[in-house]
Amino acid sequence: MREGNREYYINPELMQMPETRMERIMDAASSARLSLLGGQVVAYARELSNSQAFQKAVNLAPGFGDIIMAGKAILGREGGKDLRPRTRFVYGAAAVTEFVSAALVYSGQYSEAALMHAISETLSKSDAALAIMKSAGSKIAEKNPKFAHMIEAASSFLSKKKEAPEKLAESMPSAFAKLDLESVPTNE
Amino acid sequence: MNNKQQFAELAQKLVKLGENQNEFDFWLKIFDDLAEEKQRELIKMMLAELEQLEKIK
Repeated sequence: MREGNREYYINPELMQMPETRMERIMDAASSARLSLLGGQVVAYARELSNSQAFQKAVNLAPGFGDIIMAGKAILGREGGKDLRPRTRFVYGAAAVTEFVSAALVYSGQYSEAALMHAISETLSKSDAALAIMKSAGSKIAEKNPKFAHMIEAASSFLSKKKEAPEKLAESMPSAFAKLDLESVPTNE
Repeated sequence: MNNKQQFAELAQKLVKLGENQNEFDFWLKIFDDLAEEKQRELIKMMLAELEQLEKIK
């Protein structure tokens, strides 16, 4: 802004309403926590199977959560009501753990390409989410109880929020479409 | 005060400022399973958020 011979810089951050600034801080903090969780999921999951297909799927997990978060951020609405930014975390967390669960359940049964297709098909059905997580949870309970507990916490959230599996299922096809599966490195 | 108590106290303060209860319920369920280092990282993030929020409150 120019006034006379003086130029003033206006910081757009300071012009925002306090509520908006608070939301932005909470959004950033929630995203950082989701990254922390994604990293933890990947660390747990990498120990579970040496299957190349599974490792490749696991490498997609944190990015996948980000895509769900981004999708929700853009849409900003859920069921006709405004979606509060912080509610996105639980969807992201559920998406990450659900994705890894599906990879775990199917990794021994399909080739790499078919695995991705199977995950996509499964996760796009809202009624499959809880069954897949339950199956993965019991499969790994002895091998990695901490991860099984994490999957249980995410499925507990999903079972309380009846609409959550549907919302995840709606997001899955477009999220998969954005993933460049060929470029994902394997952890070898 | 141990890590879990500190987490619970911070979560309560953040929820009062508008943070999501569901998210912290989720973290609370898995908190004991996190490595000490991750617990501290999470708490550090929450402290930073609280400090920023209280500044503009």
